[in-house]
Amino acid sequence: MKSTLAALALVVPLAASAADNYTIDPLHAYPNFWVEHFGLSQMHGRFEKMTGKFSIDRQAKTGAVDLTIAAASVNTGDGVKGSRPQSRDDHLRGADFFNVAEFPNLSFKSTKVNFTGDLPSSVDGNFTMMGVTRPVSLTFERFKCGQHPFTKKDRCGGNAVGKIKRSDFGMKYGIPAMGDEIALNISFEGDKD
Amino acid sequence: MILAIVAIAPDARNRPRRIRVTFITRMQDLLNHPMVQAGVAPFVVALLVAGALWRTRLAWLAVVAGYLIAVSLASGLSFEPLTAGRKVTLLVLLSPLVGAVLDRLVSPGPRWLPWLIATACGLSTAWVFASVLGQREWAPRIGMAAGLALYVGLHTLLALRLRDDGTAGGAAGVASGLAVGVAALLSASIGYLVGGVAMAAGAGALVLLQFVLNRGHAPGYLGTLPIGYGLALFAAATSVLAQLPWYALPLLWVVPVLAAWPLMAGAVLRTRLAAVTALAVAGALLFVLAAWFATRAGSSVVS
Repeated sequence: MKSTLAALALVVPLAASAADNYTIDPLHAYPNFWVEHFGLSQMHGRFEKMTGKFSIDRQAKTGAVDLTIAAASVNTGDGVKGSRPQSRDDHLRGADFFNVAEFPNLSFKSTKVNFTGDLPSSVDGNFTMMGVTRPVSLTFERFKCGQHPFTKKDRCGGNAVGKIKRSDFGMKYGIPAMGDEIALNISFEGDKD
Repeated sequence: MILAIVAIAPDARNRPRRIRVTFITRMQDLLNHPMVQAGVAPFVVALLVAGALWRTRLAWLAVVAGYLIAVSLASGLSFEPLTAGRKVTLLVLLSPLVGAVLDRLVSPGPRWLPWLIATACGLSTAWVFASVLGQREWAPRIGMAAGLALYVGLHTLLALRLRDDGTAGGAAGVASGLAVGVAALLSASIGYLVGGVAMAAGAGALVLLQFVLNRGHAPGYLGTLPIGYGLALFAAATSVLAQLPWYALPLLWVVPVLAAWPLMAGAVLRTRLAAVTALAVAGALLFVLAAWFATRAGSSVVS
């Protein structure tokens, strides 16, 4: 009887906690994007602040992703206005683009994580920008897990790519001179909780 | 000979179609040009509307007609989701309708009526900017809400004082619109540049018609509400949502004050029209200069 109870005590916690939970390391989170500029080149930019969590359950082949990006942290390399009234990054924060005064955050919340083998291959979810929520799918070009060489903590990381149309979210300024389609490339790492 | 005719005939048949396609492409390029969207198209539309409605009390609908065409060309009309910017657009488009009702039902009305309307306009800013106000702590929230209400309310009241004077109303519309548009450009908001310049173009059409026909046309509440309330909302939004520092805003009050000045009161209409418009534009330069120096200094409500 005692040995049966002991065996049950060992099995039940393992079954209940099959999902591994991770917290995004904000110092190793790079939500990047690029957009066509006048059909001549790609304009690249990124957001400097991203927080969130993700989890994966390799046995059940499920997972979850919850990301929050600070819209005001947008950086396209032109943040110093010099003799101009405003810089490009100032313009991007304003009412014509991200409207950060009214919508301080962008967010992505997953609805389904798809697996190939033991690793996530893509994630479907809802992306919210400027008060509008649209379904978006991100494909993992890389998803790897290991141990941090210094802290010895379990860590997973990778990068996910996808595309959105900014007009779907109400950001219409400058179309078509500045592209409607925005390519996303989000690199991330997270420590296991 | 027959072969030559056969060879030429298809090309001749396709030429009208090619000309149509080229014309359509060039028209689209023209309509996509910012100066056309903000200035030329609103001015032309306002001129047509004002000309068609000149003999009625509705001629000053032309101001918002110009704004409507500018917004339609620049970004399209959409009210979903109802952001602060879209609330501004909605209220500006509704303001002449409210003004028309007031002109029809209550004008001239009691002396306290403009104060009541201005108060309502000022208080509406709490709804317009609710999403931004809600992000602040209580004390800054109340301060910001009070400031916005006072600013928009007072600018509306100053413009409503011009409702019986087509010269002053038109001058205030042109000058305030240009001032708001230029300040928006300096503050990284092309959307409100388009709005301000479009309203200026619409008011300019009314000024031009009064000048050409040598006849005044009182704007009434229908004309002065968009000019006073609408342009104040543009300026407030440029401060709250873009980079215009708040302390530049009060200088916009100078424009309707100068437009109301009894400058050359005994002169002929055309002379007075030109003089008052020039005076109002000079006053608008104060606001533009303040916006220039303030944005260069780098502080704003947003940061």
